[in-house]
Amino acid sequence: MSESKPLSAEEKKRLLRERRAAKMAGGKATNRLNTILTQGSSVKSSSVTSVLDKEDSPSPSPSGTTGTTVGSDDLPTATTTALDIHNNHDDDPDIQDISAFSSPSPDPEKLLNSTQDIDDMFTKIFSGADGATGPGEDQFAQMMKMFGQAGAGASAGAGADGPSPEDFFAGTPVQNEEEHQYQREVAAYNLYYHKQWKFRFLIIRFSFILINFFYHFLTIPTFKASSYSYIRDISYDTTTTTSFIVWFTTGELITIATYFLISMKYDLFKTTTENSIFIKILSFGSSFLPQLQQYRPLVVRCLSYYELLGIFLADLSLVVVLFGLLSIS
Amino acid sequence: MDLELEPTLESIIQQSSLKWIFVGGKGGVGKTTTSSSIAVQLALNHPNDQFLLISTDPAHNLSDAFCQKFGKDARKVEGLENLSCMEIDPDAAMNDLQQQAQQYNNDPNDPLKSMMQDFTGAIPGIDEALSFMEVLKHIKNQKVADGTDSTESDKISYKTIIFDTAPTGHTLRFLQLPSTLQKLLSKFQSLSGKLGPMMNMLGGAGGQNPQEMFSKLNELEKQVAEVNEQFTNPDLTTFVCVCISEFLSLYETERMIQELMSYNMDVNSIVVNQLLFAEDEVKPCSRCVSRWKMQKKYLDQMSELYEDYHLVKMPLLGTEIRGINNLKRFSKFLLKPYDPKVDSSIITDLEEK
Repeated sequence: MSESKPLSAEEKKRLLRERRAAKMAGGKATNRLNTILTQGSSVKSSSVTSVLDKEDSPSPSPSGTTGTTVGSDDLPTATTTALDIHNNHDDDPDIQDISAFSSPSPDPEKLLNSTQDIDDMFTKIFSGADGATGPGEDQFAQMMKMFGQAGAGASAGAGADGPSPEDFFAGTPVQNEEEHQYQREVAAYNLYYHKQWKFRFLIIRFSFILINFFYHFLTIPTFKASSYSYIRDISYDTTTTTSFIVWFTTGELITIATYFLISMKYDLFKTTTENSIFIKILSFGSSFLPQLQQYRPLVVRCLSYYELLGIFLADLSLVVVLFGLLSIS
Repeated sequence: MDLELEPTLESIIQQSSLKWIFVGGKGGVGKTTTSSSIAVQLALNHPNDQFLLISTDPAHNLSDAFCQKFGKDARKVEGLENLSCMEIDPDAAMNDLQQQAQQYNNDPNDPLKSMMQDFTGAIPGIDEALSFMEVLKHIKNQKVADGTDSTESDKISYKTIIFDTAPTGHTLRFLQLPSTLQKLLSKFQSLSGKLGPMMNMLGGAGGQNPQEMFSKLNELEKQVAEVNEQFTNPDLTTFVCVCISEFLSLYETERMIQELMSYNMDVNSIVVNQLLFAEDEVKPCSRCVSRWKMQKKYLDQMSELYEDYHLVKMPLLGTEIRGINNLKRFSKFLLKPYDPKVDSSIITDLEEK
């Protein structure tokens, strides 16, 4: 039996170096890292690559491996520098495709050729889409009308708070024009719908008032009026007048309440408030003072009640006219 | 074949051929203490040789470790005459460079001067570059000692230079410098050959002799090549990894070892610091027991991963290891493994500074 020669210190060191290198070669370096990560419950487990296993162009150590460093053939031959490692982006997160989120850029040709369209658009805006510019209206009123129409168009069915810059500047001019056309049509329809209901109620109110009036006039001989107070004092029968007033008030209450309910149901007040000069001033002012927006609901409510008050005053005016006519006869 | 590896740094301390020892690892693991301990043991075991401990960490700690002020020039450690320490100061080194450059540009009103000083002082890696320049200087001095260079004979030559390095990233950057510089210089040389006439013209316009510049660059390239050669020779250079028995440190240590292997730098020793050895205590503290359990888990992992390395286990002491006397007592465990049953008295027995 031959005795194995004891290893010298140098040989021992060389063998150990070779063993260490062998344990890092052939992808084992990455495995070692991943083993550590896995056992340490790291969030990066199995996702790292060792610098020894990265496929970089070899940056030769200028002096080469001197002497008997680690002379085995299975050494990692690619010596990388930090620059190469820095440029190797294997561990970087994946690049996300954001094309789905980006809006298509406008066609430059269309943009260049759309100057005329933009001019037309502004002309239409400033001249009023429905052509309802009165001869006596000044420039400010026209601008207010522009804002109102734009706001009405933008908020038709949507309840937006007046015109927004996006209404003017969003999208291409062609898209904007179609949208504005649509908004205008919607606004016009809403207005028509509102007027329709107002007309219906107008018919009902006036009919009721006239019926009430002529009933009392024809059936009650003492139902008279005069512009002279002494005549009114002579033949004054309060019961007939009181009867008329009670019926009038009752009728008014019923019609106004019904109108209010229907307006709330079909959102008819919006059309009124949007076209209101006060809302337009508020919208204009809120662009400088955003705090003014908090008063908008209050103003809208007041305008709604004002419309109801207007109905009552209109009916009252009719009654006054009728009694005035009666006093002549 | 089973090659038994002692869990000590005996092989490093006794290896006579070693010229460069780097001590590095993650921040706060005890690099300065370990590098100081290695330097102390080298000085104690080789009383006739001179050793130099250089700190390349911008946040120097050597002065605190030895309780003695050190600076940019090597100063002997009090109580250990054959050991010197140096803390490289980038600002002072830059001033030296500026003074050297004044021979080329003596204009006191040069607006670029102060700007360049501020600018170069802030360049990332400037600390590493200046440390490297120090290395070059010592290589030159070694030639003096070897008798190969007779131009300067009054420089001290150190048998071994120990580097207390900055946390891992800085150190790796420092170690790349030789190969990076060498590539740069060789590129420059090839370019200078092609653009020689133009360089002559520019050099002449600036009042500098381009030939002198080229010769200096040539000399620099040779020195860098020599450094590169020495750093990749395991008989001349080794890297001691310092870590603690925790997950992050273990992972960083493994990455650092792999990175160093890619630079062809020898790593054969790992020092595991701050170990509690709590199982043999008479009155074990619950926190220590729990922590020791965690440390043992990673120690077992290290034993598997680093069976071909010298794995030195150092204890966590009750006080800071500061001052030459404490360092002497603590550093002996680098050569003789710490036995908690026998050596536990040191935990509370150190001098308080």
